[in-house]
Amino acid sequence: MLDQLIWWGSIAVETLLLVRGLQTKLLSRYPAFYLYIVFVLSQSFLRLYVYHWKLFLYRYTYWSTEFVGILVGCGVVFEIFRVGLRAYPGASRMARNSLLLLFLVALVVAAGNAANDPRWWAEASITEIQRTMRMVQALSLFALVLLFLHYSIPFGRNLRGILFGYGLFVAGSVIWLTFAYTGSGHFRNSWFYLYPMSYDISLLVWIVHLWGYRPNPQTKESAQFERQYERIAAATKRRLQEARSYLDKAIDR
Amino acid sequence: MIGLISALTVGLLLLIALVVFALRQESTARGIHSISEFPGDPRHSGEFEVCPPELVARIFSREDWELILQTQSPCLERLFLQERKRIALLWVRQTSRDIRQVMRNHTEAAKQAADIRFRTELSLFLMYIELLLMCETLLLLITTVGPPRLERIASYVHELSRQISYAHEAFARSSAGAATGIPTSP
Repeated sequence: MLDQLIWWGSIAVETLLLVRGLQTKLLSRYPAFYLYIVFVLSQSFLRLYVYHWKLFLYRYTYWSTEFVGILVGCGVVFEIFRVGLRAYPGASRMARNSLLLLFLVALVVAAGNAANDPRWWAEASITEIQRTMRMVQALSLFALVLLFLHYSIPFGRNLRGILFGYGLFVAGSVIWLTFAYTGSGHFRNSWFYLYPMSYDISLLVWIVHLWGYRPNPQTKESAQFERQYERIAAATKRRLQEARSYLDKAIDR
Repeated sequence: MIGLISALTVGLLLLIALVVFALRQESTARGIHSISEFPGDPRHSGEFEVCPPELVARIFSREDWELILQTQSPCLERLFLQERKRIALLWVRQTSRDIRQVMRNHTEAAKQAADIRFRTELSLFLMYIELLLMCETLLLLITTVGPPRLERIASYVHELSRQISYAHEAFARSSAGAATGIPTSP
């Protein structure tokens, strides 16, 4: 009964979200996000159909749609990055480089682990693989949020809602999947309800923040800094080197 | 097991970061600014207001403390330590606030610079973190050990903050030179 309630509740909110997106033209502003919602909605119907009429296929359908969901979700992360940093070329460049560095580190760690335990890929459960993928996504979002905080990037209500809702869902997924992997049978049963419920919280965040169109705050005209970084960096570097040499003396004193 | 702990840590860190982000965005949206962000505040101009070096040296100096010790009055010793601790804490908090303001001014300009350098930004950020950590350590040490025993570490922080201030002034000057008439601070 509870699972049906969660299921139909999600479908109702997703439909409402799409209808509001069409009415307020938010759909054209955040296409990747609404594509994700369309995907989740179709996935819900597919799962519902399989659950009732082809139960033997449910496990396969559930996990394959989960993986596709992660990939479509990457589009949401990219959209947050693209729209949020559109007016800030400096911060955008920092974000690109930080994410690249992060993916390289993740790749090296994964390659190291695979080299240490070559059977991991063969033996890893679906939950483990999904948790690893969600972890990479969580790390990307974490890096982006830190960057937004560091550069004090102002977000409009809509984009803030997308980031907060999706971030909550990804963080929740990583935590639930960790417990699902280690937890007892009792927890695994609860997880069956907890996981979709954590998504419902994100849906509520989205419906509140995306009810109407709210533009992102306008940035001040600042052509002065657009091509100034070379000079700024040279001055800063020189001063910092002086500082460093002085500090060395201060420590040695 | 390490994988599980790191997964949990990542999930929780993301949650915390999101909450901080949401709170910060809410306060910005409501127009709540810290006192230092009001126009007319001296720190708003990009100037770094640090105490004169003599005063900082005096706060953490052992000279006065040794003089008080000679009086052999426990009451006077206690009073002296209390006062000195209060001044020292005030100085560290002010330094920490000024460092944050300098970095805020820097990021405000850097986020719009199309030719930003990743490595330079990273090194500045690391220095900023180092300074903040030093300030936090100083606060802890002042509270537990007391200012007269911290002379060396205080001068270290003081000089580091002054050098960052110089760097920021150079940064502001070079920007102002290219676009006269446009205010250099956000």
